[in-house]
Amino acid sequence: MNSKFYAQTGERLYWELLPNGLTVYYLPKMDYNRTYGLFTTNFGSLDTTFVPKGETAFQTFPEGIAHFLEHKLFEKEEGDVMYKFGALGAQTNAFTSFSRTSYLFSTRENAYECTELLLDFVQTPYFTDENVRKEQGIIQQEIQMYQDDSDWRLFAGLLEKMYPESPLAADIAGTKETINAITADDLYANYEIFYHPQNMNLFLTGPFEIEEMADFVQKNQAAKTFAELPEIQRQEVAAAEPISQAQLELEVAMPKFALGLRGEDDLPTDPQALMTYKLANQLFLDLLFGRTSQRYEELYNAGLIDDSFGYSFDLDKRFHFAVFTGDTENPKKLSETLQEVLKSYKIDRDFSEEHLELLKREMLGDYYSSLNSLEYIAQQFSSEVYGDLNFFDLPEILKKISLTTIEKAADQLISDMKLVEFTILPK
Amino acid sequence: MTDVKLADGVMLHVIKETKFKTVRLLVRFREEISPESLGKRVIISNMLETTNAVYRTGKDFSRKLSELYGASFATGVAKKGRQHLLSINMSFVNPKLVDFDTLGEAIGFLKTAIFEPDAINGEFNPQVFKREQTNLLHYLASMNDDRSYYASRKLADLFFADSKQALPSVATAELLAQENPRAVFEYYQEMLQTNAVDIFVLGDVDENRVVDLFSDFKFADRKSVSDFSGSKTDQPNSVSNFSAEKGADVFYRQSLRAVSTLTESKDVAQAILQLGYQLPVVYGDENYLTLQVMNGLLGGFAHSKLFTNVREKASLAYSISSTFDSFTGFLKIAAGIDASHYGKARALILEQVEAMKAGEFSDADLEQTKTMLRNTFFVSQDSPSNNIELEFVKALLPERFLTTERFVSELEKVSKENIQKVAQSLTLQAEYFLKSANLGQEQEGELNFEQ
Repeated sequence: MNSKFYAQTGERLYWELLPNGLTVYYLPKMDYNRTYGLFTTNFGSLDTTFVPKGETAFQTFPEGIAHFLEHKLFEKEEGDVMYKFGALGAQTNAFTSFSRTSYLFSTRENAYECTELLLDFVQTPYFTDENVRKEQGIIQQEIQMYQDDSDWRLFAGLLEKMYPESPLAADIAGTKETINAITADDLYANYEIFYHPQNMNLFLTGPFEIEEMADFVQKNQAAKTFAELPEIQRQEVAAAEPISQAQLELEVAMPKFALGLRGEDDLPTDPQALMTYKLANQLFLDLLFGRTSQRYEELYNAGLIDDSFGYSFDLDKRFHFAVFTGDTENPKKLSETLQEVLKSYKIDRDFSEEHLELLKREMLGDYYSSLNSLEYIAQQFSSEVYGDLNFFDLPEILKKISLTTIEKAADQLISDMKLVEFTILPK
Repeated sequence: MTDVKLADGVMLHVIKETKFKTVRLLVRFREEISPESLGKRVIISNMLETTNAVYRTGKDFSRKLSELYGASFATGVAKKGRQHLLSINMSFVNPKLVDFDTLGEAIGFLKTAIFEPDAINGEFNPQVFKREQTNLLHYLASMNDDRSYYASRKLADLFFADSKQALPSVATAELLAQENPRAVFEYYQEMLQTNAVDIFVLGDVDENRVVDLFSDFKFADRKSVSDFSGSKTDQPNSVSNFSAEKGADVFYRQSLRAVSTLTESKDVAQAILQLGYQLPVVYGDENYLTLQVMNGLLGGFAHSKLFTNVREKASLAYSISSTFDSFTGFLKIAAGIDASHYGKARALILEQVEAMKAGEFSDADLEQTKTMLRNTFFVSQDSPSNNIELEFVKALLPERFLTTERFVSELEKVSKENIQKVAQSLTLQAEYFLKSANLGQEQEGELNFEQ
């Protein structure tokens, strides 16, 4: 068992790699009331093309299969696992993203039983053609519900134009057609590869005794056998040329605008360099477009943006992009301004050492605040993007970032990006 | 926990809590909802959040907060029964973590925000006012893009007999549009003088220092909170005798009416069905925990009747739940369904309510619901803002407040018979259905047939 004390935050993190390949993190929080567990597999909506077990060639599965599998894992021969958690007094849920599927529980009572249940239900698949068919109706409703969310449509529409003909263009939940094509055999083929302990991690936090909990997890895992896992071969995300401009008409009150920067540059492989690249580009956007910038002030006063304006930088091993979104009466003007600023950022009055110091201070404060949330911490750990670095290393990395670091990262992103505009217009 | 009276009707509550990395601060102004002041309060909420006489631009305002290690400053409006709440929230890192006096600076910032607004010659800065008013109108319009919010608004309109109570906490476009910088500023002065004010500070703080810092906030004496209840005894046919009790100014009750229904068509992929029930139990009543359990069994949890039977067994909905407001006696069932399943889904939902009335649930379900409620209660204490909300209820209704001990012991006592009794007093009052505009005639025919 490894452990490290992070003096700045007063947290002690424990972690170990179990003989079956599962990585487990423990973060005891003695003064909290609840125990929170998050069991994650590195398998998400992007992983539709891979080499199944016992095969040699790539095979493509229907879009939405990771999410479908997530729903189906809750169902067992004896009923829905949700009820078992409920009987223990726990809440449970799951979510699927582009790269990951996570299962969770949150409880005050019966923390050991809940941990056991989490491990056992995820590690015991039960798919039948009959229960697969039944789920199709519920997921269709879920897809439809998102169709009525205009902010979500904006983001999804932008991604579709940024990464055409790739799994990033597809809805994480798939479509009515693709989910209707999913079979129990498909689910097993995906499960066998991606739900192997070697491809998974468990994060546990709450008021438990570390020795006892670790012993409990070790015994649970040791009692199960897993077939050997061949190296997972996933297809790279290769998208067609982006569609630089597109729009959609919906029943909305005001036009909704999105600008995407599809990163085409090669990401650093070194964990420290990668985390630096991510933070630097976040700060880059904060400098130019955050609420502390002259630019934001001007755009806001001119009525080009309002409180709905936002931006983010997303990074995964297989893709990275920056996104700007906002409701605006004048999408064209907003887009022009954003693009001009990006082009000439080096001479922008907001791009200064003094402004950066202020923003680093803010980022550090936000970081400390985020540590109140067990859910947030757990999710940061489940991503495993940064190799041997983790979320608790962030303050150290942040400290070292200078305006030069940011210039380097921003140049790398901007010199090799593809711009995409997507607008939702009122019907 | 330290309670200090800063002036008559102005209370400071300091809650020492060491487990969080942040300190949380809340200032809450409240008065009875009225159409005359609602729009003004919502604009004030936006004005205070944007600029003031010291931090004159949004940029200066934000930069100051960044300097305080990314302190957050947010205002908001809400309703609690008959009361309208205007809240200022701040959250900042524990000074010990950053070796910087975030506490003193934040309270200083708050003081500026409240007492030095961006106003001159007796009116709010007209330019800022105009912009924030426009932004709010846009915001209100775009909130309706959220279909389930829209449906909930419609249901509230159908449900509430009192038009004041039906008003959304964020006001309406009409109420906002009619306001001007002078009238709103004049009202703000009045609000500062007359509203009941509660201030909460929760975190790893020195209680004496907090009291010191707040002692020079210039709040005048006002009628104390309990005085508000005196003249507000005009509620029609209250189910219980609230009007005579403390808290009469908080709770809203209405008598039973004929069921109001409305069906609308919009360009939606998913149809939404919402039902509103009258519920004769409010916060702190003898049956309050029975109500919690009843709602948990009906549609509050994943093992509930609605979730199990309508979603899991019949696959008729993705989202389905029941929620209640224990300050207005309003219980809502909301479902996202396929429009073509309207008749089937509606019948199945009504059937679940009937099953609750008939006591058709197992002892195991009952026990599970209690366990879930107990867990939720404790788990919510891991959040600074939930802790403060609990303290607010305590400050508002000290005699009705449920301590942890009372919550746990009364929850334990909830019986099947009591649950049935509470369920039997549920009365359908309003029904709203939002269907897809694309739904063809043929399907509509089928709908009628199913009904």
